[in-house]
Amino acid sequence: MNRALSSRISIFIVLGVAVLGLILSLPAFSYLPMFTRTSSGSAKPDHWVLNAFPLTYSVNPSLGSNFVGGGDPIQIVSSSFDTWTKAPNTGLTITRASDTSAHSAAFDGMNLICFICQDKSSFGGTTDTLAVTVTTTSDAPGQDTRHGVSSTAAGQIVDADIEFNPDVQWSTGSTVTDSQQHLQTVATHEIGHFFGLDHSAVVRAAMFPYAPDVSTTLSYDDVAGISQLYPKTSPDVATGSITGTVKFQGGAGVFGAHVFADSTGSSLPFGTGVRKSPIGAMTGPDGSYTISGAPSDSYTVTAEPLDDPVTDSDISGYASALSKASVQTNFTTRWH
Amino acid sequence: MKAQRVLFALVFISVAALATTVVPASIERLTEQSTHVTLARAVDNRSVWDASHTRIYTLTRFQPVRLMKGALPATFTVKRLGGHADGYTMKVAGVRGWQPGENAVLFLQPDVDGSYVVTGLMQGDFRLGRQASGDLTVSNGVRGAKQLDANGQVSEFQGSRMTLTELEQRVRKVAVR
Repeated sequence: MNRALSSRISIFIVLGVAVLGLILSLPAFSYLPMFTRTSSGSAKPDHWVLNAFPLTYSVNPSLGSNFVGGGDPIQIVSSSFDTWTKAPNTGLTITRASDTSAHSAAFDGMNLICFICQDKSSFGGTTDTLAVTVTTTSDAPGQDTRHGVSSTAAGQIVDADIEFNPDVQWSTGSTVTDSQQHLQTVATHEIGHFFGLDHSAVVRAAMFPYAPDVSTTLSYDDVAGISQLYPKTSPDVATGSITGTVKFQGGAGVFGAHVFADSTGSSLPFGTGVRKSPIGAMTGPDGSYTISGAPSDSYTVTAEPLDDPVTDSDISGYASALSKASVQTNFTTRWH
Repeated sequence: MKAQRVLFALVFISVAALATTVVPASIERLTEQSTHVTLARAVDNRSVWDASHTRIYTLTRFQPVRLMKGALPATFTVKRLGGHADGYTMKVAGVRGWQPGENAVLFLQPDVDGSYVVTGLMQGDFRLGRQASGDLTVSNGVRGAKQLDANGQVSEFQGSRMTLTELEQRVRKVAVR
């Protein structure tokens, strides 16, 4: 709709595409991490350094009558963490530390999960904000992590807290009513942020900014993201990458195009516990992209402007981290 | 083939009205929840720690360009959690700040310290763009998300992008009640 009308400028896509045998593994990201802008001006993906200090979370177990459905919210959060840490190709562990009475996000050496969070300003004064994840990263090595050691990398996450809005009606069951929100669905998304992922423009991803009423599993895009940030030493499933460049007709690279690879096959290399979805990437300032974490298959690759339903506003720091005002959307969708 | 593909790309968007972080709020709801609504221009930013040195806030000074609800001084400050200070970056996923010179329509609530906070985090922050026709558009990046139903029926995509004129009319309609 808008996309078709939005511009007469066409793009020329240089495909580094489709087929796939096992292309070698690669660097870059095929999902979208959050970024930290370093003191030198470059952008580094947010991530935990797993050997820096034990990665734990602490729960404030206080609950209100706004939790209904019979499930245990703490167990649900634990299951949501497991969804990410047990993702294919992912080498990531986190343990639950002692409970706490803290009730507000803070850079204090403790990764807090609170259900009756006291600082309602975190939610912008409404019940329309269901939950927030607040992360703190180091802009450079050598910063105090508040865990007794110094940070070792720019973009290293040193603290992350998840606050659930206490004024929201939460369902801890398997279904929701119109007035409820599904705790595990929201927790799964927020924990993606906890581990460093930004929103994804792939519509079936857990990190897509909007979700079905109930959706508690990861998609291929999510798996690509978490496994690239925290790769398993011996991957469960062999993957490769797709690279290319998105250019305007005049030859200039398109910055911030959303490029996604969609499998044309019916195989399920990640099994049935992961929802099959396209795997996405954003182009860099020169228009180049790398879609990583793609299992062996044939793919259709599409480049589209990030102009709805996911927009620049949903990926909070991508353009600014790369010293750009915003992503470019003055082109029409193309695929090969 | 090409047409089908485009249709797929356009309609295979979000499902239902639930967002994992936010529930999409209408302009009318945002207006009711806000004491002030204004088109404003960002002047400058500064980030500060709170008193306990555990939270970083960014204070952005704005100048009102066009008031739509409530009265504001010639310069006012919007406070948001997150920012850069002393070699650290604190961020709330999905929320971004404003650069000096950037214009936005802001739905605001007063904070206890005299500053303002944006209603519903990113929901009350509409960034400006321009249509090919020249009309100014606004979008908060949060859409009402009608979607595929369980039977795979495609409903019409309804985004939050609209013209500035339409947004202002909708705000004023509620503000005068």
